[in-house]
Amino acid sequence: MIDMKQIKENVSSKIKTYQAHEESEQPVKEARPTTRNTPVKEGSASIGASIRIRGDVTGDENLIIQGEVDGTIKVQGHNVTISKTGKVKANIEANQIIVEGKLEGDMNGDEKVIIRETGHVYGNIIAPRVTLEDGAMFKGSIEMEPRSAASSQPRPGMNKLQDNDSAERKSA
Amino acid sequence: MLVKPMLAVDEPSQEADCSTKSPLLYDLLGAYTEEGYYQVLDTMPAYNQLIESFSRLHCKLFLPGCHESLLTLKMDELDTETKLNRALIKQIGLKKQSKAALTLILLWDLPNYLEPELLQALIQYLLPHCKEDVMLHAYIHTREQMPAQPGVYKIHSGDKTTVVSKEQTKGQSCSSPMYYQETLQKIMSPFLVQRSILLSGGMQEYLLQRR
Repeated sequence: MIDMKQIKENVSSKIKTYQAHEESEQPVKEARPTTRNTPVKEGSASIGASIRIRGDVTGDENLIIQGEVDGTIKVQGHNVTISKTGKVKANIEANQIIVEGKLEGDMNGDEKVIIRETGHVYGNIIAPRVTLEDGAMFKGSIEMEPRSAASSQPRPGMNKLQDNDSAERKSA
Repeated sequence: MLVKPMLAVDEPSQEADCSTKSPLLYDLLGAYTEEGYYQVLDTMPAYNQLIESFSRLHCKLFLPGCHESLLTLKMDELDTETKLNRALIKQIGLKKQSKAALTLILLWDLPNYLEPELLQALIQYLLPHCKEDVMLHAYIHTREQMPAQPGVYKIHSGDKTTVVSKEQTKGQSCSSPMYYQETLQKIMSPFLVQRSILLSGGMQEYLLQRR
């Protein structure tokens, strides 16, 4: 099990070291707690572009993935963003999931799932709202419920459905 | 209701020139209620309008994006049942243990382009993943010539249900199989034609139901 706080601390220290190194060489225009593509928002953990994780990622804060993750990701009540450089082979459970990079796995979004134009997804989605931008590639299934019903009550059988779908793909 | 009433079938379309209306599909989707649960297979590449159209319903959309890649399958290369089954699983993604219970299959104009034997095999492959009363929607060309490639069809939600065909190969055509109803039912058995209507573009819209 990989804790996101630990990741965040490691990544933050790397960013600080990098910034300190840059500051010593040239004047910095502004603080830049960002990595290559997606800005790291306050209260978000980031998995940098050069980082590869194999295992389960859990946490209580937003997560931005710019590197590679192979396993599972659970940040319930928070958001996951797979940025353009991100490559993920994992089932994801989160409040909102945004895919700009590549994902092979199921997504269970409590609020919504967005696949941006650069996103490539092979997997199944369960979410009350799903948006697929022009140019995005998606192959799989999408399970939705009427928005009014989805927002007022929990979705029974969701985990069961996801388990079935995951089992199908794993057995492929 | 999923959509509002639309204009008469033969009335000129208000959409772009390449649009075509689909009254049977409109009627079918219009009858879907928020209380129901629907599982829909669409062979077209995934697109947001479809997702938006179904977002008011409790539904599961199967979007394998296999409309064009199915055309690469050749029956003479798939000479055993195992090879054929594997190829179809790779295209559609529904395995034996799948819990899918399809209520609607959208094939669009694909039946015109698939080898009859492959179309037959596709139907047989899909059957175990369908509900007893599953519906199947398709367009069949009624003229001798048809576009060389299948069209790209999209359901638009909103004021009216319009099925838009775009990226059609312009100027290139090929011979159409010109399936008559009896032939179509034979190939797509156990599906029987429930309703059909000739569209202004020379295509026959078919709604078939498993019997």
